[in-house]
Amino acid sequence: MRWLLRLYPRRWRERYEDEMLALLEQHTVTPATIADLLLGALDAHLHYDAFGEGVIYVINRLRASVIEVFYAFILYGVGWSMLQRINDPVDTYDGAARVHPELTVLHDAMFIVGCLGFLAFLLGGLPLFFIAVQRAFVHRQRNVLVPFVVSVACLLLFVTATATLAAWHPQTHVYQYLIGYLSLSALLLLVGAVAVSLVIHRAHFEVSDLKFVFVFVFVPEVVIVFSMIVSVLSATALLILITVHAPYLFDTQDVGRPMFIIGLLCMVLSSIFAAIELRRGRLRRLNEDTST
Amino acid sequence: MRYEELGRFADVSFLILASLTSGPKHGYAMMEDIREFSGTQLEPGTLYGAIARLEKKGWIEALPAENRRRPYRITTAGIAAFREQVATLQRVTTVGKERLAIWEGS
Repeated sequence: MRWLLRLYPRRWRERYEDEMLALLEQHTVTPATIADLLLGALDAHLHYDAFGEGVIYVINRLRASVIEVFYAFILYGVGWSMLQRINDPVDTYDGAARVHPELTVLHDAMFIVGCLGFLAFLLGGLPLFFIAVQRAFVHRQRNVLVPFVVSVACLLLFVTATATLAAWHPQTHVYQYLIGYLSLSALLLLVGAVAVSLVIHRAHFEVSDLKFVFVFVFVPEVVIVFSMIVSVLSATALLILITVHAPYLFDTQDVGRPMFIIGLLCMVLSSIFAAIELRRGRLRRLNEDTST
Repeated sequence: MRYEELGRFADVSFLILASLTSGPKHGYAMMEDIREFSGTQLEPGTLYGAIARLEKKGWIEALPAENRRRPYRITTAGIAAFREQVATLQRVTTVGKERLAIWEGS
């Protein structure tokens, strides 16, 4: 039964694992017991918080939640970007949209809430990142400053590559360059995301930061997750409408059906993951718990 | 946190409080006691979900472990909460009996 208890959160196991194992040794284990333990593990992940177990744990939990929402948003961004070119070439898409204006509404909704989520992502992420780097400078934390430099380098490289491609602007698609650009962007995104998460993971946060985090990180996180969910719903409706009313778009547009579905799956999975992490990192009863 | 905020663990919590009112018990002893007095066979996941909530609310507290088995005892706040719940149940029982009597008499 020990393997089932491993499904429980680490803090839970530290507190209850031994006594639960002792109980299970005396208890007749049935399929109902296994199902009950599985549900119990899920419940513990969703509801067990350890505010009473120390502020350090709260900070670490928040930190983990922020990093995981960040990763979820990156995955969401990849899926969202894949879907954006459904209206290219414009002429074919506009032809379908004139007959079915709801296509434009859904596409615009997906685009707008995606942008809203990205704005919230910047508003929430940049101040936290700034605090982390500022503390790293003060405390001379080399293990934070190095990933910070790497993340900035990734951003600069991406901007340079994009600007170069935009300035060059060839009249015909040169696929070797396009694939090279996309591969480089994916690599920079991956390295940059890992570097940023290392900055947050290793940064020195203090108790006073918690209230700041609540307003400037938790609220944007709510907006991010809301945007993700709304855009998933819009994209799903768009997929259904195109399939029903204008299936030829999947042949004529830059985004084919497989690409659309992969993009949508990325968005769905990341939204579920972000919602779970948001719940896990919530700061319920922050004031009374950190004041003790 | 109020009693109703225990959600689906409210009934289990009531049974645990009832069990601990007769003295401290570890998890397995609680399960056996509850099965005897209520006929409800609790499973470990449900039991510990409720124990965690009751402990966090301060209605029960853990005692030092004895051979990996940790006994729990009800606290003063737990007794007060339990008393309130028993009173509510008594009112429900009284009304239920009255209405049954009316129904059976009609």
